[in-house]
Order: sequence, then structure tokens, then C-alpha cells
Amino acid sequence: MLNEFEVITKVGENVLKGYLGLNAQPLRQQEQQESYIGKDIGVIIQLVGQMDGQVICTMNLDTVKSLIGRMMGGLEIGQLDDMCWSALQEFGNWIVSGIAIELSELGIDVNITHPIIQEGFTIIHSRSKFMAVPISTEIGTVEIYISLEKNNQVAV
Amino acid sequence: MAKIMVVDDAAFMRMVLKNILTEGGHEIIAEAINGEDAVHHYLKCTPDLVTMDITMPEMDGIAALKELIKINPLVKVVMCSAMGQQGMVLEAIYSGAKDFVVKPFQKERVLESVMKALA
Repeated sequence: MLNEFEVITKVGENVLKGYLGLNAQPLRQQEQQESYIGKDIGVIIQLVGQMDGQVICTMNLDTVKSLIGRMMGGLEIGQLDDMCWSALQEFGNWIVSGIAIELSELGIDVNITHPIIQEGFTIIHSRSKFMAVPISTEIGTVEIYISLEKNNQVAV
Repeated sequence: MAKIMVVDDAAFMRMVLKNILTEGGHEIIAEAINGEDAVHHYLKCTPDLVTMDITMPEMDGIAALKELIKINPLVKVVMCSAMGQQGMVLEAIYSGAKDFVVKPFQKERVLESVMKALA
């Protein structure tokens, strides 16, 4: 039985706490909604396979800079350059690949697309509802939105 | 010390791997951004070992691994991918990879895997 909240909190904690050494505390999941309103910056990745959907990791600019600084071994980040965008895409990739691994352990086979960066105010509408899981850390809150539905074209 | 080619479409991951491997005493002699690029560079520089991402545009890492094995059946390839589902790991190992390191990884895990593959 898929519990998206448990999957996201487990993966989020693995990456934020286990790898980046942050004090990551999942907050209460937010009410499901059919649209996503972006913070300053988000990474968008699609899941395709026995389930289809999107995962969006969104943060404010200061959190993004602190996160990338940690990924780069403690660097202070001023302007976001191409290497920073690549690091942020990779962060999204780790989260969504982690979700794909968890799904595979439930017998659900999915692949992921290349990450896309969203910058600035954005509203994304989806036919299925997004579940939002905020994870609080000392560098700010990382919100992970997930919208997943069974793909009836592919046998589960 | 080994001569290594790093294959990953993400500039950030190439930088991370280059730093880890050079700190571990290895030399990075080539970088490639997808599977096709990896095959092209392998033919030119024949590294001792290749680190290979899986999800890449043009040609993915599993297809590139198979191509490299056609060129050199003894090629040493360590897969470095965030897509660590059991099926993906097994496919890579059955296709001839020496090891599989799941991202995000710790420096020690990468160096241990490279040393194991080179042994």
C-alpha cells in the first residue's frame, strides 16, 4: 500500500539529514490541492511508468543558496551560476530517484525524467491533486510536492 | 593511481567525482556528458576505469556500458547513479559493470568501489 507521505519523509530525511547533515524535521502534510504555487525556485521531475506524476522540490532563494553551499562542501554561494543550477537539478534527482527506489520496493516500476528548474512565481495546475510535504531544516523549509496516479496503460 | 574517465550529464556530479578521485590519488583523463560521448572518448584515451551515470540523454549508461564491453571485454566500469532500484543494479552488473554506487554517495564509498574494480 503506497503511503506517499511516508515515502517522501523517508527519502527527504535520507538526503537532507543522512547526506547533507541537516536537522531535517518533516512537518504535517498540507491539504491536497490541484495546483502548485511555487516558491522562489523549484526543481520539477516527472515520474513515468506504472505510475505517472510529478515531483516538485521548492525553496526560497536563501535556502537554495545554503543547500548548494552544503552540496559543494561548505562554499558560500553568491550569484547562482551554471554549476549551482546543475547542483540543484542533482538535488531534485536524488530526491526523486529515492522515491523511485521506494516505489520499486512496493513493486511499482517507474523511471524519471531530467530535472527542470522553475524560477520565480509559478502556478502549475494538474489533473490529479498534489500532496505537499514540508521538511523543516536549519537552512529553511524544503517543500516537496508529489502528484501520482496509476497508469492504466501499463500493468502494475 | 589509475587513469579515469568520468561520464555524467550533470556538470556538478562530474565536478564532485573529479574532486573525490583526484583527492584519492587518481588522474582524470577524460570527461563525457552522455553514452555516445563516453564511447568516443574511450576509443581515444583508453582509461583504466570509467565511472558511468545511467540516466543521460542520447545514449544512457547501460547502453554505453554494453558498447564499451564490445570494444574491450575487460573494461572496468563503475556505475554511479541515483537510480538504485534493485532491477537497475542487477541489469548493470549482468551487463558487465564491476560495481554500482548509489548517489548521493560518500567519498569513501566511491574510492572503495574504484579500488575494488581496479584490483
